[in-house]
Amino acid sequence: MMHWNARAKRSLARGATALLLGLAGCTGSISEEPGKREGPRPAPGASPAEGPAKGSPVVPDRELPSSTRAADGFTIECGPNKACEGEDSPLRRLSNHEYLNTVRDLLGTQSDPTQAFAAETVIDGFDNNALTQLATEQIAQQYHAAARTLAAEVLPRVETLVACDAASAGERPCAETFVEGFGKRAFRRPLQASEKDIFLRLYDKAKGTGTHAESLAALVEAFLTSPQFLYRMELTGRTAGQAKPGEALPLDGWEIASRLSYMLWQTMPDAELMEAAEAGRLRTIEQIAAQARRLLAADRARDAMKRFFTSWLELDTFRDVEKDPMVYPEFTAEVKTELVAEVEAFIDHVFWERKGNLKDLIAGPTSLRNAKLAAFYGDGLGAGPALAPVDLSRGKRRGLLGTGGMAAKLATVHDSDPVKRGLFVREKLLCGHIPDAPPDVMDIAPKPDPAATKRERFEVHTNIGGCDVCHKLIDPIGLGLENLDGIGRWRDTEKGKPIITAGQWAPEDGGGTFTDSVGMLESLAENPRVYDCAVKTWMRYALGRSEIKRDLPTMTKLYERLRTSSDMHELVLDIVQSDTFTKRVVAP
Amino acid sequence: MTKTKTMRIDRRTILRGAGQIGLALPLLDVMQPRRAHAQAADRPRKFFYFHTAHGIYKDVWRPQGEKITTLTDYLSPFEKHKNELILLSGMRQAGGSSSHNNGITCLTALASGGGGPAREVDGLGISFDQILASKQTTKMKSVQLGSKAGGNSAGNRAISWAGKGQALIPQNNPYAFFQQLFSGVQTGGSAAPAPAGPDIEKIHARRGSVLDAVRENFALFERNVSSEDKRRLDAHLTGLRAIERELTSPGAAPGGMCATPDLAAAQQVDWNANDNVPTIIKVQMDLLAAAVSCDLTRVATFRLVGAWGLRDHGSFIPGCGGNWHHDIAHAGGVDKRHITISKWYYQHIAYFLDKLKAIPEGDKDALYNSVVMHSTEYGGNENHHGHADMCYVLAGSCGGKLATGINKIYPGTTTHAPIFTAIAHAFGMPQTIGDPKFGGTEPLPGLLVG
Repeated sequence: MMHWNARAKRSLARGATALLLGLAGCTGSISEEPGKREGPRPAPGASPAEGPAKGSPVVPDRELPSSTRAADGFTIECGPNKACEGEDSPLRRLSNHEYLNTVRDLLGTQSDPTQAFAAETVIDGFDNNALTQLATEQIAQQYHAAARTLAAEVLPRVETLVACDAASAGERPCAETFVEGFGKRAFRRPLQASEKDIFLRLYDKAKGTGTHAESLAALVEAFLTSPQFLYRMELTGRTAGQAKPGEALPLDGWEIASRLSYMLWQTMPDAELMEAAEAGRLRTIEQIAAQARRLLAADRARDAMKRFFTSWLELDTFRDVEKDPMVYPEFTAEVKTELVAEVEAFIDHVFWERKGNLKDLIAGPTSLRNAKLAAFYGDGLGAGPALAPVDLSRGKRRGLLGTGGMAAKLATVHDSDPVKRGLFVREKLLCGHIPDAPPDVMDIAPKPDPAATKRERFEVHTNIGGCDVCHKLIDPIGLGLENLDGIGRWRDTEKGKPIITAGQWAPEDGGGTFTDSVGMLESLAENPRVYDCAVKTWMRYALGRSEIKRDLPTMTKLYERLRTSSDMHELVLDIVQSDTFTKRVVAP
Repeated sequence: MTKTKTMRIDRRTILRGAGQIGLALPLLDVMQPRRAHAQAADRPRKFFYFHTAHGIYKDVWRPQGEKITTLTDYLSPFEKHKNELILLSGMRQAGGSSSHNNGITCLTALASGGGGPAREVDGLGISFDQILASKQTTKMKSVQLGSKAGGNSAGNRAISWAGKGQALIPQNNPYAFFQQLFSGVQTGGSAAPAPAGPDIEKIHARRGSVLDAVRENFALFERNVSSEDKRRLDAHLTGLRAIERELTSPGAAPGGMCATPDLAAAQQVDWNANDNVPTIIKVQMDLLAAAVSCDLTRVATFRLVGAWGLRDHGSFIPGCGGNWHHDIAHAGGVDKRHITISKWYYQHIAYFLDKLKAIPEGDKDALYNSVVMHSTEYGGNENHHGHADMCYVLAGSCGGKLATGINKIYPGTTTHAPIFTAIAHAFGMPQTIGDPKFGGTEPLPGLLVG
C-alpha cells in the first residue's frame, strides 16, 4: 500500500505529460526483423502524422492526444475523435434504446421497431455520442419504415392519443388540438407557429383522400420522421441576435427537462417534467436538482443506470463468454448465469445501496452471493437461493474485479489473460488510451508454453524494446489479479509454481508498489485518475458528447467534489446543477 | 411537391405476391407490375464482397501455375466454379498496419488510423462498394449484411463506409433484411385486405405528402445550426431522398426469375443464436440472391465472420469446437482447424456462386455479369497480424471484362487497391480507388481482359 495523499496531486500533475510521452514511445514500430526497433516518433504536439516513412514497413499513423490541463491536475485530452473545440450542444440523435423508450411512452406501443435498426457506433463505450450520429441512408430509411409501421399500428386508436371529440368539436379543430398536444410530446416542447402550419397543411392534404383518423395517422408518421423528434435539438441561442458569440445562455425549461430525462431515464420527459417546464419551474438549480432527485428515486432510473454501467464497464459482452469445456468443465451455463447475476447485483448494490461509492466499486469488500456461488467459489460465503450481501474482507477478493464474472470475462477461453484485465483497468477505470500493437507483433508475442506461468511468458513484453512502453502500463495490473483463474476461481499456484502478484505502478499512476490484488485495488481506488475518469465518463454520457476544453472549469469542480465524497449520486446531482449542463454557449 | 408514378396492380399480381410470401405483409412493393426491361446484352454489373477473419495460409492455399487447372484442398469448395475463379495473391493490403481493425478497412484502400477511440469508429473515407453504389439506380443502392458470427458488440462491425466516420453497420437479422428489400408499402394491420389499384395511389400520395412535410421540418433548421449539425441534417435528408426513389422505382424484375423468397424462413430463425449461424448465413444468401434476381440491388457486402465474432464453431464444424476462432488462428504454425473453418466459409460463398449461376441473364447468367470477392483482414502468413502476402478469391467476369481461371502472384510492393480499380473499370467507372499512394490509380495488371 503506498502513500497517496501527499504526493497524489504532484504526481498527477506530472502524470499527464508522462503518460503522453509514454504513448509516444508506444508508437515506435516493430520492424519486420523481430526485436529491432525503430526510433521513437516525434513528440505529441509536433506536426500531424505525415504517413508512413518511406522505405519502412507500413508504420501505423497514430495521432496522439494533446492535452489541456487545469492547474489542479484534471486533464482533457484532445486528439482523434475528440472534438476539443467542438459545439457544446450538438444535435443528438436518439440512441436505439432512447428511441424505443420514447415511442413506447409517446404512443403506448409494445412493439419494438428498433429490432431492425442498425446498431449504433459506440464511442468510449456509449451509444449516445453525437460525434458518431451521422444518419446514413440506411438509418434515414429505418426511421421512416418504423414511423410507417407505428403509424399503421396506432391508426385504430389514433383519436385517443389526444383527447378531443371530433363529433362535437369538429374534425379540423380536433386536428389542431392533436398537432399541438401530440406535437408537444413528440418534440418535447411546444410547436412554433411555422411547425404547426406544416402539420396542419399535411392534415388537410391527407384529409382530401382519407378519413380523419387516417389523416391523424399521417401526422404521427410525419412527427416520427421529423428531425425535431429524432434529434434532441437545443434551440436556445440559435436565433440571430439572441446572444453574443461565446456567451453562455441558460437552456429553457423544456431543454432542461429533456436533458434530465434522457440522462436519468433514457426517455422523453414525463408529464410532471413537462408541467414543470410549462410552468417555468425548471429555472433555478434548486428546481433542477429537485427534479433530478425525483427521477433518480424512481424505478425507471434503475434500468437507465444499469445501462450506464453496462456501457461504461462493457458488461454487455457477458453473453458471448465461452470457455473451453476441456479446461473448465465447471463453467456450466448455470454457473455463467450466476456469475453474471453477481456482477449485476454488485453494481446495483454499489450504486443504489452505497450511493455509487467509487471506492466500493473498485475495492469494496462486499459482494452479492447465493448458495450456488458459494459452492462455485468454494469459500462458503453465500447461502440460500437469493443473492445477498456477504462480507469478503477476511478473504482477498475486492470490488468489481474480484468477482468471478469479471475475471472470466477478462480472460481467454482456456486461461486467464493479464493483458485483458490490465487493459480494462487502464482504459475503463483510468480512461487511458493504449494504441494498437505494432505490425507483425504476433511473431514475438508470448507463445503458449505448458510449463511457464503467465508472469514468465509475459516477460517478453517488458524485455523487448517497443513493447515495454505500453505493456508496463497494462501487464503489472493484470498480473496483480493472477490469483483469479480463467473462470474467476481463487488459486495460489499456476503450473505448480507460486503466483507472484507483486508489482509496481507506472510513474504516471503515481508510482508505488503493491504485493497482491487487495493492495493493488485499494491503491487503485485512491488513484486520482480514477476520479478524473469517472467524471469524464458521467459527463460524456450526460451530455452525449466527448469533453471539450470549455468543460474544464465544470469538470474540475466535479472532480474535486468526487475526490472528497467518492459518491456518484452526488456527482449526478452536481452534474445537473453545473453550468455545462444548464447552459449553452453560443457558437462563436 | 412529390411526383409519384402511377402504378397499376391487378388482382393476379396481388395473388402472386400473396402466394409466394405466404405471410402477412399486407402489400409489398414487389407486387408492382414487373417493369419491362431492356433486352440489351449489356447487363448491369454487380459487385459482392464477402469478409471473413484471421488470414489464410498462403503456401497451403495457392495452386500451381498461372492458369487454374487443379485447385488445392483449401480451395476445393470452389471446384465447380474453377473456370470462373480469379486468385490473386502476394500483394500487401493497402493501408494495413498491425491490427484486425486496420485489416477490416480493406474496402477503403486508405491508410488506417491508430488505436484509442478511433478503433471504435474507424472508417477513414468512402469504401469501394459505396463508390460503385453511388451510381446505382436500384431500389437499394447497396446492402450490408452480417451474421451473428460478425459479432454483436456495437463497435468493430462495419466493413463498408459511406464516408469518413459513416460506418454502414451490417444487418444481422434476416427478417429485417427481408423487410428492407421486399417491403415498401404497408397498410394497417395484417387483417386488412390488400388495397387495390386506387388505394395504392392513395398510399403513395400520402407517403409523398408526409415526406414533403418532413422535408419542410428539416428546412426550418438549415440556418440556425452549426456547420457540423448542418452536415448531419443534410446527410439525413439525403437518406430521405432515397425513400423517394423507392416510391418512384420500386424495383424491377428482369428475366422473369424474380422470386420472392420464403419470408417464414427469415422470420423463424433466431438470429442471435450461435448455433443458427449456418442457417442465418444461408437465409441471408438466399435473400441476397432473390434481390439480385429482382434487380433490387447490385452491390452488397457481407461480413460472414468477424475477428471478435463467433467464439466457437464447434457446434456446426466438427473438430473445431472448444476454442475461439481468434485463438485457433493465433495458436502459431498451420492449424488445420483454421483451414477447416476457412473452407466452411468458402462453401457458403460457393453456394452464393451457385445461386448467381442459376439466375439467367440473356444467354449468360448473373455470375457472369458479377464479380464476387472474398478476403480476410490478414495476410497469408502463419501467425497473421500482418498485411503482407494477401490472398484474394474473386469469381465472375463482371460482364466479360475480367480474366477468369487465373492464379496470379504479385510482388509485395503491389497493394490490393488496383484490384478495385480494375473492377471499377469493368463497371465502366474508371477512376482512382483509395489513397493514390497505394497505386489504385491504375487497374491491376493482368486482371482486365484486352
